[in-house]
Amino acid sequence: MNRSLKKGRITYSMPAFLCFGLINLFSQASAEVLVVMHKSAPIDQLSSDEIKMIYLGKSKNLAENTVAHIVDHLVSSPLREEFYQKATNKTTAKSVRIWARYMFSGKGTPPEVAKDDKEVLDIINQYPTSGIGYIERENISDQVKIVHVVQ
Amino acid sequence: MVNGRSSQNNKYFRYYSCLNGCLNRSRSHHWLSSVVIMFGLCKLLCMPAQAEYAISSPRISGFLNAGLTNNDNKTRYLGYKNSVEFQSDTLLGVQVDSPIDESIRVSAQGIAKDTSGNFDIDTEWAYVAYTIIPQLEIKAGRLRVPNFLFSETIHVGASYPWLRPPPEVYNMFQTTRLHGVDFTYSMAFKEATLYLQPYAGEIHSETNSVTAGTDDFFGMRTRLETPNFEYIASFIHASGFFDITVRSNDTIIMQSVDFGFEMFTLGLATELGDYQFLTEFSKNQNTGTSSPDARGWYGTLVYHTDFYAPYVTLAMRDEEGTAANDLVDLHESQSVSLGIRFDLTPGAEVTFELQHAEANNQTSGLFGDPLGLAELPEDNQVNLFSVRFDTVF
Repeated sequence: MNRSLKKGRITYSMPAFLCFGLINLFSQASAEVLVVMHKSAPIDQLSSDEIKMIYLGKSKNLAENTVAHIVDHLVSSPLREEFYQKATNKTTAKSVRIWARYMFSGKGTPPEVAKDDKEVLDIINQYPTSGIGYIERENISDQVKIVHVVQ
Repeated sequence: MVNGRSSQNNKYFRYYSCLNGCLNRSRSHHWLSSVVIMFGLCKLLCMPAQAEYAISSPRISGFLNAGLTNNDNKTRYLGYKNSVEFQSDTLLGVQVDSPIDESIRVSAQGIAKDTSGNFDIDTEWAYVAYTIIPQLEIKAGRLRVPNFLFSETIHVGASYPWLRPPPEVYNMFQTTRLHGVDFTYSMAFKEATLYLQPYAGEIHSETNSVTAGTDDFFGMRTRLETPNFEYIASFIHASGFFDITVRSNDTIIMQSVDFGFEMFTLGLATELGDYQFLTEFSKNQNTGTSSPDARGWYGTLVYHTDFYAPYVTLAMRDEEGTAANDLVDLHESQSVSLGIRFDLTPGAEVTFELQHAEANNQTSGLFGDPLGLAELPEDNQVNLFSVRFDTVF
């Protein structure tokens, strides 16, 4: 009896497990986050540690004589939560605290905040060598190049 | 003897342990005129650092700490009385940052906090920053003294994991401001940035009974930042004078003393997964005053979840009292603090902390007022319970 119950549970749970896996796969695919810079930027690729340094306020120098103009999303944005979790292992609340420390220690101003991916691209167009931001893959344009894919 | 000022110890000088306390209330100086001239020359001599620039309007931001504290000892501890206090930890700060052009920005920060029963508004910093090349920035004006891991944001509760930075270390140097120049040179490596930050200037203050100032004040902090680590090593040198006026009945006694002060600090903040570890060690040496040489240390372990972060801190301070007049001059102390911080919304949090501390070896420990008189307690143990709401905007 025990065996049949166990078997039955497995039988019923398999479709659910597969559905969950597929849903998870699709949701991950649709929310792929890309770090982008302008096509003319002097940088082609950045490592995950370099992205972490930039978005934790620990480095602004992208290349020689290039200071990053960092673009971020609103604190209410789900994309911001996902980006910081994946790229820096921080929640949005912790990212706010990190940038508060940056700003109130006199290091400079925190990232420019965009309301959506389109505005991120607009800002990067204004800063073709130094603008850096993150967007969803579906919103990528011809004007930018991918310098890092957030895993 | 320097400039006719006596170097001998005096019992009054115990109240003014080196640069603590009275120097914290420094006043404005003629430095800004020098600053303007210096920046004008720099501007003529140097090329702009950044090619891309868009004029943006001044940015106004701020922070608020509001809390209550209860000390269960009859003697004041860290300035907190034996009652529920709302004022001492309550503070409002406003900061204005404004770019002038692609390489010059100005910044000013004002704070309003409770000092001796009144909310006083004071300028915490006001400086001009000039980026000569992307790796080198010069600041001049009224500046923060960069010494500890969190020196620059010591008033911003949301910037550190504790309810308040461990006093065994942070009270060893409470002067937060100087008038002078600060150079920050950054060297970016592949996945690390090294900052060299030398500075020099002067500190001057006057209270009703004490005039204090520095003849020499300089220091340097080095900071190495990697994705998961932050190290600091810093050094301060100061020499100067205290002119003290003591009124007793109809008699006015004026005393003057020269002092020398040096301080070394090492610090580390590291994150491993959900755990964060912070530690700092400081050592200072005094000459000329009755203040003893001191050593302070703390270690903090924080566990981060998405919504809350419990922490535990062990801290210790001991002193070599060969130059002290009596036990009230000595501040040997140890404490353990348990706390937890809850994120309410991004930018707003509430922190609860219980600190159990002991004054060691019959000294005053950290009892009394950190900016004034130390007090010998009848009972050398204290429990300090604090709740604080911190926000940035």
